[in-house]
Amino acid sequence: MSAEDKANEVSADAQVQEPTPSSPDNDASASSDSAGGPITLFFIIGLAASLVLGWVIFPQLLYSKKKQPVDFNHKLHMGLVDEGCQSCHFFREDGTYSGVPKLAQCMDCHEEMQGDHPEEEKFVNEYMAKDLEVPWLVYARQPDCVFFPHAAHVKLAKMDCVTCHGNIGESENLRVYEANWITGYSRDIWGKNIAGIKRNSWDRMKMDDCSECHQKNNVNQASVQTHKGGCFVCHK
Amino acid sequence: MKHEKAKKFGMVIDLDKCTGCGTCMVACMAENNVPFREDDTDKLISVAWMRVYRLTNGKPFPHTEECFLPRPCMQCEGHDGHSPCVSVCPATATDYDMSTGIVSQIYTRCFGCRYCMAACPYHVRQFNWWDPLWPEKMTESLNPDVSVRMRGVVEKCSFCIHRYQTATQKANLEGRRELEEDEYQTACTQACPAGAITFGDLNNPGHAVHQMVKPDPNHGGRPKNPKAFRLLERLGTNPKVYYLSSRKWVRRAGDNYIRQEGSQNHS
Amino acid sequence: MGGAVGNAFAWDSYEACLGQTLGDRWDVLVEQGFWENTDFSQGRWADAFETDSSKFEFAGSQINALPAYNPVSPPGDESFYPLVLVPYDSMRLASGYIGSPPFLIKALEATILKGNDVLVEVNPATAAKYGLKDGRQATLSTPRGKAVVKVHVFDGIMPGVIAIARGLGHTAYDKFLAHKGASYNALSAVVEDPATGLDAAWGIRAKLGKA
Repeated sequence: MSAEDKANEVSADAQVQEPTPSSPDNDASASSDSAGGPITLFFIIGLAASLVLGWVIFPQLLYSKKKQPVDFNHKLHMGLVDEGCQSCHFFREDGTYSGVPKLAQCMDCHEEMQGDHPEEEKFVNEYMAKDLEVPWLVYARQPDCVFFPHAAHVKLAKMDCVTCHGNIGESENLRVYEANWITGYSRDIWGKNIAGIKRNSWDRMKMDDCSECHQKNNVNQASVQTHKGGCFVCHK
Repeated sequence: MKHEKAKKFGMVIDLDKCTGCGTCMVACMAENNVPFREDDTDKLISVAWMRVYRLTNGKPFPHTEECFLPRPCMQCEGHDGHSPCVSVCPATATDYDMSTGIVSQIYTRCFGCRYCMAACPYHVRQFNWWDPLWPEKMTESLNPDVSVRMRGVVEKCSFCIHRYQTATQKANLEGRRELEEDEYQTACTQACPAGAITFGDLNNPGHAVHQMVKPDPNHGGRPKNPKAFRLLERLGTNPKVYYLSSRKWVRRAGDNYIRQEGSQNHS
Repeated sequence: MGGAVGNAFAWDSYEACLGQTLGDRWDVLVEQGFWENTDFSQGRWADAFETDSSKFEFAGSQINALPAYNPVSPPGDESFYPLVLVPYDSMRLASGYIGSPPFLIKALEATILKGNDVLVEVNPATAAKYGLKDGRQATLSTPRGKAVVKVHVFDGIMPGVIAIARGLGHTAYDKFLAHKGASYNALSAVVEDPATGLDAAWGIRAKLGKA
C-alpha cells in the first residue's frame, strides 16, 4: 500500500467517524423523556457553583487582606502642600525616586499633634515619638527584577502620577492592601479585575501595560527577538 | 530596526597592561551579587561573570611566557544582532538590544534549558546549579540594583547594565537624554589597577574605545591598530570586546588555527 | 568626625587645620590652586648607590670578595630530597597570616587550588622523571613535614624546582578558606647565613612522589 493510499484510507476513516459525536446527543434526547429535567437542573446548578467558586471565591482566597498601619488621608494633605504629589514623593539628587515618605519628611509638621484625629494620634504616639519608621504597604511595589525610573517617565515623558497610580491623591482613606499568597506581590500589579479587563490606565501594572505604552510611544523598540522593547530597558 | 542614535557599548582590554591580579573579577562579583560556594574550584560550574584566564606560549623553560586574559561577556552582535546565544533561546530570556548593543539576560524568564550555554563559544554563561549562597553577613552588602539569581537559571555578564540604568535616570532628572563617557563605566573597568580596560560607546567618536579600535576599510573592516584582535574572530560572532597585545603568540591564541596553517613562528 | 575622635581634634574644621599647619602655603593654594616648592631638587641618582653599577643591587658584587662568602644551600639531604621547594606569592592570595576573603578564594585560578588541594608547579621534565601527571595528587615531603598536593605541570618553572603558592593551608577562618591546601610554612626550615649569622629561609629540599 502506498503512502498516498494510506492517507486516503485515514481520511476515509475520519469521514466515517464524523457523525458519531452526535450519537450521545441522540441518547440524551431519548432519555430526556424520563430524567432530563433533574439532570439539566443538576448540570446548571453545578455550572453556576463552579463559576461562583472560580470567579468570586477563589480570587478572594488568592489574596491576603492587610490594613495599612496608619490610615493616611491624601486629600487633606494635598490641600495643605504647595507642590502637589512631589511635595512628599520627591526625587533624590542621584535620580532615584524617594517613593513613600520616611519619618524625616513627616517630622516638619507632625513632631507634635496638629489636630485631634485618632489616626494622627496613632502616628505621632506610636511612630514619631518612638522614632520608628511606619511599615507602609506599597501598593505599586514591583518585583525585584524590575527597574522603573520615575525620572524618565515624569521628567522626560512629562507623564502625570494619575496615569499609573490613579486618583489616590484624592482619597480620604487608604485602601486595604491585598497581596497574592503565592507570589507576595500586591494585587495592584495584576489588577482588581480577575479576568484582567482594564478600563483605566491605572487599573493594572503588569509588564504588558508598560510594554503597551512603550510600543505606542516607540520607546526603545530595539529588541532583536521581539521587535519590541529591549529587556534591559526595564529589567535588571 | 535601526535606532537613530544607537549606541554600541564595547570594551578594549590591553593584555600588555593586565597583570592577572583578579581585581576585575572581585569587583564584578561584589557589584553583581555573584554567589560563592564552599568549593568553587571547579571552574566549569563555578559562577563568575568575569574570569581571568592564564595563557602560556607553550615553550620550554626558560623561554616560557605567560599572558593573562580577562574575559567578560563578548556581547556578540553576530549579524544584525543574532548573537549565538540569542538565536537559540526558546524563552526569549536573552535578547540583543540594538539601542545599546548589550545582550540581556532576564533571570525570571529563563527556565534553564542551557541551550545558550552550548551556543556560546566563550564559556561566558553559567548555570546556577544551587541556590545562591553568601558567607554570613555578606548578604548585607548585596547590590540592590542587581537582582539575585535563583537556582535553575543561566546568568552572565551584563556590562553592568544597572549602572547604565541608574546613570540614565540621573541624567533624565537633570533633563538630559545622553550620558557622558564617564557616567557609565563597568565595575571591572573602574577597578582595574593597571588601567588595562577601556569601556565606552564604539559608535561615538568622542569615546576612547572608538578611537582605539575603529574599523578601518583599508584593513578589511578590522581595526587599524595591529595589536587589536577579538576572540574567535573567524566564527563571525562579531564580539564587542577587543583585546590588544603586542605579542604575536597571544594574538594567535585568540583564535583557532589548523596546525599547518599560516606562520607557526611565535614571536 | 564625631565622638572621642572629634573631641581630640584640636581644630574646629579640617580647613582650619590645613590653614594652620600649611601656613603661607595654604594661602597660596587657596589663591592659585597650586603651590610650587622652589627649593626642591631631584635626587642625585648617580651617587645614590655606592655599588659598582651605581644602581640598586640585590647582592652587591663586592660580596664575592669576602673570604667568608658561600652560597647558602637549602636545608635537606640532596640524595634523599632531590628537588628544591620554593614558595611564591600569587597576586590573588593574601600570603601572610591574614586570610584571603571569599572573593579571592573564588577568583583563585584552578592551577593554584583544586578541591581542597594546593597545586605545585612542576616542570614537564621533572614530572616525567618522577612519573607525575598533571592534575594528579602527589605527596610532597621535606625534612620538616609532608603534605598532599596536586601537580600542575608548567613550563614556566625551572627543572628540579617545585613552587608552591603562599597563603593556603589555614586552619583558622571560615569554611571558605580553612583547611584548603597546604602551607609552605609548615614544610620549610631555616638555615644560618654564615656571613651575617642571621636565619635565612628561601627554599628547602623536597621530594615529590605519587600519592
